[in-house]
Amino acid sequence: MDRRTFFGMMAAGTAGLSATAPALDAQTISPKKFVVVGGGMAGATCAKYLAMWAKRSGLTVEVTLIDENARYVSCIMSNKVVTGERTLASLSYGYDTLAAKFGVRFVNAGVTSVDAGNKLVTLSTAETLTYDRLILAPGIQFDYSAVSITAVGMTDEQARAEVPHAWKAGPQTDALRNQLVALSAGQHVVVTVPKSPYRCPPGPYERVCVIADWLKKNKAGSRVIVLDANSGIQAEKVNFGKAFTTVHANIDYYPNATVAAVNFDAASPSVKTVTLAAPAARTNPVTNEVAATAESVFTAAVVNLLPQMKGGQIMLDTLAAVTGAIVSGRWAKINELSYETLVPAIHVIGDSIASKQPKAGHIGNQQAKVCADAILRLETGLQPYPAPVTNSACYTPITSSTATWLTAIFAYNTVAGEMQVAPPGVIEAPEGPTTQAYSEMGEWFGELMADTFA
Amino acid sequence: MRIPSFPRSILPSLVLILFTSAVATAQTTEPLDNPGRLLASNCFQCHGTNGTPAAGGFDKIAGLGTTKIVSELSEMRAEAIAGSEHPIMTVHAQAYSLAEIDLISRYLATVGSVPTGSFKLTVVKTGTGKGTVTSTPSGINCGSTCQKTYKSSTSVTLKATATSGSVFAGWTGACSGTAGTCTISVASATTVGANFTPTTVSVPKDVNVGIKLEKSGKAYGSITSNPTGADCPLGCEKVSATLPKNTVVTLTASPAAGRRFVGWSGACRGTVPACTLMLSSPREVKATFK
Repeated sequence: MDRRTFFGMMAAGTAGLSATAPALDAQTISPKKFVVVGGGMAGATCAKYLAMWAKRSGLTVEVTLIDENARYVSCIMSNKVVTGERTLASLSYGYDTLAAKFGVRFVNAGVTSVDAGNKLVTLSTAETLTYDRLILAPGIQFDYSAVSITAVGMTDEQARAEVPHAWKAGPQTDALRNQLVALSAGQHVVVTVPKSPYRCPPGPYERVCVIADWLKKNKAGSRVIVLDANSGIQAEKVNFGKAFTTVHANIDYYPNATVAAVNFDAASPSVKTVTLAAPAARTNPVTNEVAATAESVFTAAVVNLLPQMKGGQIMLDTLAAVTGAIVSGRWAKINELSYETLVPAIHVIGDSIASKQPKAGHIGNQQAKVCADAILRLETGLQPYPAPVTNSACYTPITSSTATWLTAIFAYNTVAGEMQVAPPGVIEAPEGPTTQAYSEMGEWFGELMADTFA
Repeated sequence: MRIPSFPRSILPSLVLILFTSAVATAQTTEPLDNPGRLLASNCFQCHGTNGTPAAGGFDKIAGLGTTKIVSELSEMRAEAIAGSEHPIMTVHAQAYSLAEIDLISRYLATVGSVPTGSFKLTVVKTGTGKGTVTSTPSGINCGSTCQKTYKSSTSVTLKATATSGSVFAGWTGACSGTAGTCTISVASATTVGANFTPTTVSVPKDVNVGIKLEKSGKAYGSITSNPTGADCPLGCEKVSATLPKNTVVTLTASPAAGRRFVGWSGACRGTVPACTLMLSSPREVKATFK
């Protein structure tokens, strides 16, 4: 035996021994094709972890990530664009790193149709992709069907744009910022909160706080009127309650206030009339003290209208044919062990799902990992992990230098067959808003985005 | 016991680390169904993908060892959320069971060991002669600089130059042959041996070195050895063997059906089932199955 033969044997021997590890049996299978639609927090994370974990386990896979936008603009921290503390460019993330580090193929295109029977996705570029597993992460869309927005001299489209939601970070975020800057001191801002569930439960209240903080410093006499379609504050009740009543004295909070109509004239857009479906009374969210008279008409210069929300259209279209696959006409019914829908091999993650988990970027990132792990197991003949855990955590600015936080861990309840909050429960910062939390907020955001896009 | 016999002439070339632990890791993979991996990924949103933060504001948690993670999280489980120095971590620690924390800690202890993008190339000079090995692109001048990290798939050419009184006798490891240069693609942690011998060849002494293997959970798994010698099949609790000094031995732990390989201790470390070591001196290895 010469030296070369000996080394050859060693190499072959090692390979043979490694092959006894269960994961490697799958190496002989031809590369699995995973197509992820939607490059937001959940979709990008899913693509990354499918590719990364497959590689770490010795599997060869093909991961394609599709989004109609070339870059993602983060909703998290975008309230700081509204107050002029950050730019949209600073919240913008591309997909080059996922391609370079993990071999994820990014396709900048829309999806025109999904053929679940033949496992085919057709793109707006006319390209068709086959898949072994399809993951839809389309986020939310806005449902304006319950609110009438009309402006003399404007199309419906223009009228809607004049009362921006700014709930997908982008041009509307800048538009809301510009409207606040243009506001005359003493004019008011209406922020509406849609019926739950909606994207980012603490988000509207955070926005109210940072706008109120900005108005105090820049627009004397201006107030924020909060018209909440729900019966009370939906997240961080204690900290937002205190912020609305103690930290900021320029906030009027109206629960059970569902907006039915917004009317204005294109010639004088700074006078907008907001009409409720039923009168609502101003309420102190800490003491629950209710004003004597209920109101149903409000006048404001800026109306930040957050319509009701539902899952992305590609999800609704894809699941429409299957009875029971869509919950309440809005959200995807999924198995929370794998995020698979009632349509085999199609998974939905993130804000489009029906779940007790909140609709938010941080937990969407974790759902994506559970989904990726389950898919890799399922594609190699294993079962999904039976006890997945996800977590929700966020920091919310209360002023330009303080923040609070909210966190909860969700665990799979086998009896109920769903993810439920685990003890110690949904916890908000017991210490209230602090400057320390404000500085941690920046670190959290940086790491979360790196775990998603880098 | 079988001691493999090698032609005496190749024995000097065995004085090289054929598969270092890093190389062994690169060739072994994480099980797909590692629950610790999925659970620990809950930590990555703040502590960075695979436990190393991108910016470093939050703690690095990869490679800390199981004891550290378990003890820190156990402390948090016992403390009040209000007044905690790290209240969010306290909430999270309290939401996991001890069994889950154990799984998380074991995954985090090893997560850093699987290469993801850059790999170390190590040159080991063997033999009793003298010489230097240099690289193109530069980075290795061995001499004194015998290690360099390259991005995956970098093509590196190594050149061996013997000093006066020695001759270059050939490459081992990832390179082979006796030409003065060798070009390799660094796609995993890689070790190359360069054998320099004195112009006057001295015949090495054939020395045997002992390896002792001990198994915890003797009925739960088996250990195979390559080359054979230190094999410990199901039911075996201890085995000792002697092999020629500097033999490179790969031990592989295989759990029995329904059982699990917990990890190595002693001369082998970690939870990767394959462990490679060189018998430059007597070794003791313990494998634990559950």
